[in-house]
Amino acid sequence: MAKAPTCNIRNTIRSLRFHAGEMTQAELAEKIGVTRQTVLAIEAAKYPPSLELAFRIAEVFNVPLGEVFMREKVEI
Amino acid sequence: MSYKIWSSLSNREKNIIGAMALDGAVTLYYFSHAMALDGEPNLNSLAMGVLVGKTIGLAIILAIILHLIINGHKDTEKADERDGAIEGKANTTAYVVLLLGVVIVMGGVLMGSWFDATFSLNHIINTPFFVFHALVLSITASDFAKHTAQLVFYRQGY
Repeated sequence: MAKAPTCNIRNTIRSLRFHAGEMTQAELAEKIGVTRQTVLAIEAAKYPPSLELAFRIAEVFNVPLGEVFMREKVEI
Repeated sequence: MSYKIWSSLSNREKNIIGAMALDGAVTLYYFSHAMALDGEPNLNSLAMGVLVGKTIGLAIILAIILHLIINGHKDTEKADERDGAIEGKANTTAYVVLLLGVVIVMGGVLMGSWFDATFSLNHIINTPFFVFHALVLSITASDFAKHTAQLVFYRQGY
C-alpha cells in the first residue's frame, strides 16, 4: 500500500535574520507583533504560523514568501 | 522545582503552572471542608453555599497573590496567535475530560437509581451534594487537563 505523503514546512528565518544585520529574535518578534517565544517556535518548526503572520515575516525581510517558508515532502 | 528549571520557563508557562497550583490548592480546600460538612447532621444548601462562596473568595485572593509573585508589577505579556492556537487545542482536551466527567456522573446517577430501586440501598450516589461534588471534580479535572495540555504544547511544539 502506497504511503501518503505529508508536508513539513521548513524555514530560513534564522539565516534571514543573520543577513539582516544579525537581527535578534526579540527584534523580529516586535516587528511582526508576536512574542519572542513564538519566533523561536516558528524557527524551530514547532509552530506553523498563520498565512497572515508568514506574510508579515516575509515583508520584514523584503523577500517573497517562498524564500522564507519551503514545503518538503516526507514519506510516512 | 529547582530555580534553574523555573528560570528556563517562559512567563506564560510560569503562569500556567501557577494556575495549576491554584487549582490544586482551591480543590484541596473545597474537598477538605466538604468532607467535614458531610458529617454534619443538618447539612443544607446554605452551608454548601457558604463553602462555595468561601472557595471562590479564596480562589480570587490566591490568584491575585500568584499574579503578583509571578508577574510582579509589570504588565502581562499580550497573547499572540500561537497562544490562542495552543489554548484552543488545550480547550479541546479539556472539553473531552469535562464530557467524560459529566457522563460518569450521569452514569453514576442512573446506576444509583437502579441500585436504590432494586436493592433498596441507602442513597449514596443520588444525593444532590454528591452529584455537586462530582461535577466540581469534573470541572477541576478538565481545567487541570487544559493546563497540562498547554504546557505540553508549549514545550514540545504545537
